[in-house]
Amino acid sequence: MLEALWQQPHLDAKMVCSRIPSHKQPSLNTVQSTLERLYKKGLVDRIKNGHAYSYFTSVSRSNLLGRLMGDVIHLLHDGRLETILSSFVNVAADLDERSLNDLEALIARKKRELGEGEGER
Amino acid sequence: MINTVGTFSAIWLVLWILLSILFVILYPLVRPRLFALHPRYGSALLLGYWTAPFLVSLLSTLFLFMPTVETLLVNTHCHSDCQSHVPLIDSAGLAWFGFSVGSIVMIFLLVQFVSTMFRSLQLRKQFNILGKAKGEYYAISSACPLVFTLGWWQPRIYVSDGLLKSCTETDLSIILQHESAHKERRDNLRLLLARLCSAILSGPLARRLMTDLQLMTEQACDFRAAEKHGHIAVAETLLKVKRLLMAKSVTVPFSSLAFAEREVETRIMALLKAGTRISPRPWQMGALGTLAVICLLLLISPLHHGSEWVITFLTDSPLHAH
Repeated sequence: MLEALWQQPHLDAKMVCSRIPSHKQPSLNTVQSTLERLYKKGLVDRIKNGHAYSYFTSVSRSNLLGRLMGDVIHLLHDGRLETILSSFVNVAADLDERSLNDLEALIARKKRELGEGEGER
Repeated sequence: MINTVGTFSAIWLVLWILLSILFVILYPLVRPRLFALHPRYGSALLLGYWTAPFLVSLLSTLFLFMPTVETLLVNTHCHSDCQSHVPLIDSAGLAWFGFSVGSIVMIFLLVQFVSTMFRSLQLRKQFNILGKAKGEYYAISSACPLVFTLGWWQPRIYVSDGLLKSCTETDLSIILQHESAHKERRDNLRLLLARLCSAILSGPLARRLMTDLQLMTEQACDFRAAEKHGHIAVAETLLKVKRLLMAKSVTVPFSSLAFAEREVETRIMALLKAGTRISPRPWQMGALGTLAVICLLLLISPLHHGSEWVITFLTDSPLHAH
């Protein structure tokens, strides 16, 4: 529904319903109740247009993604996503700049050692 | 019927608790040995270690209530008559208590599983709508430099534009190799299994176990990526992504995750000292598996007699129906 409203704002429930692909088209009642829930969550806004409401999104796609990523980061941090999602590196600010520099130096030393080892061979 | 189910639940739960306590006590001795192994084996054994109390208690209690297995494994002994028997609680109150506690535990595990599954499906749906499929991963248009694998049975990899823009081709290949390893190993499913099987543990203990398992799992995927790109290159990429996260202020102030401290540092050090990790030979793993099965089978007889003793002590009456 958000996708439909991003593509064409100011649609009423019937128009939103008609823009959803036919193979997954829900009933008008479902569309109305979902729009109502999205409105309460602050994701869409509406204005009265005759007897019906005209809906438009109040967040952009990138804004919503940003929110979703923010949620993921916080859920990752407090361990609530540990069994659902594996992240490449953890998001905890557990290392300071000095520690990162030390690690970098360590990697560089190891690289040199390996390079020397191969050179000797 | 209620006596059988109640006795089964009570024996399983008590055994689960006792084995969990034993495994927690032994963990400080086992942990360094597991972390000395190649992470591929270490992560598998660590998962086995923490799921063992649940699985061993459940299997041995099931065997205890199977007349054929019981006849083979329990020393012949008689009570009033000499028929084959299983330990049974005669007191209806105790049987109901065992049944109720067993049911509560099962419902708790089920609720945990369903709520996690719901959250997983919801997240996946949202990311699939907002992301764009690009070969082996989904690209998400977000400036946050994040990459992760989501899902249990058929996990998918999601990479943000923020990360794609900041990475070289080699970095991306290493990251995708690492995430593909998560996918192939079904690591999220392993972690879920560990979480459910150790649901009896809580607080710092549960956190420590999950953190160790996560760390070992990440190391296993780092080592997999290193097979293609080399340990140094993987260490460099790890450091680069960590720097990116910190530069873009994506990190969250370090507070509650006491055991997860300096995860990236530990992983980089493991990669730099990769040569010191031991890979057990197949026969050693086979011997360990055989030993575990033998221990499980040897547990049945003491479990039978122990259960009978406890039931007699609690009910102060002859203990089983023949």
